[in-house]
Amino acid sequence: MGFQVGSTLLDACVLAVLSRGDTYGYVLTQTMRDVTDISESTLYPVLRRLQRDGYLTTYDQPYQGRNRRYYAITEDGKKKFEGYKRDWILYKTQVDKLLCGGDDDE
Amino acid sequence: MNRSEFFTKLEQGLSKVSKEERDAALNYYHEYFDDAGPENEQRVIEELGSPVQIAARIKADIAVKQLDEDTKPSMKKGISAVWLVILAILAAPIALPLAIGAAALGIGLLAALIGVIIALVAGVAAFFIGGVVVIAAGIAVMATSVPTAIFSIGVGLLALGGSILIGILVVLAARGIFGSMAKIMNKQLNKKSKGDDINE
Repeated sequence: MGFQVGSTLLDACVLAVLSRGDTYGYVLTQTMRDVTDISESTLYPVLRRLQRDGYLTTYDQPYQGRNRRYYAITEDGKKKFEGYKRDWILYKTQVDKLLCGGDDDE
Repeated sequence: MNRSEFFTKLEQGLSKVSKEERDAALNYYHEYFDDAGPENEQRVIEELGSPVQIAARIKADIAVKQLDEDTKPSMKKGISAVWLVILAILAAPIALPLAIGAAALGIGLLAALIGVIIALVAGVAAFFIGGVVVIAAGIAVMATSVPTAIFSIGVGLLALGGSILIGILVVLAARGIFGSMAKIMNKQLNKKSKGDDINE
């Protein structure tokens, strides 16, 4: 993809994935990678930061004799995500107008 | 590089970080390797990139975060945060000349700021000492000429008061400047390291 994914958009994408259900680091990374070309080393700091800001929590679940750390979105995180989504739709519409303008103007 | 080498380097890189942060990071990457499965070990190591770089990024993030949480961040913490961000820039996989340029700019700004602050502190100290000397001189001439003594003591007190006031302002400004410098640079670094893979 030729466009940069800034840190805000990355936060929003992580919250979006988690709003559909709890998951763990590896799956989260693979899901993100389907959409963006993000390198894994940048995802851990993002998760840690979102956790410190109270937008997500973690819990451990045993899996094949070891622990797996699951990430879950919090109420604050859901609110934040809704805000991001509104901003994104607004932004997307404006960029659409510029990039594809004329074609579907009313 | 294999998995155990990766973790040796990551742990070394995080040795100065609190145990809680270090364990959290190490656990995360251990799990990541486990979930990917041993057959994918080499692929994961390639995907993750340099453990030195991961450690540098985590350290810079923690330092900047701590500045945010501190209500009164000290100048020392501000300077060390700027320094950690500079190290993270150097470790980042951006095209090397760009990284060196960015880091050099950071180091230059840091040195210039420290120089200006030292100069200001020296100026304030000179004023303060001057004030004390003038007051002492005023007291010394008290017996011979009372008006001269009073004038002299007055000027001395003015210098003392002024220097203390300016000194406080300098310290407050310095705290703020280093803190925001670390934050801004860290933000830029976030953008860069996230963008550079994608832009290829």
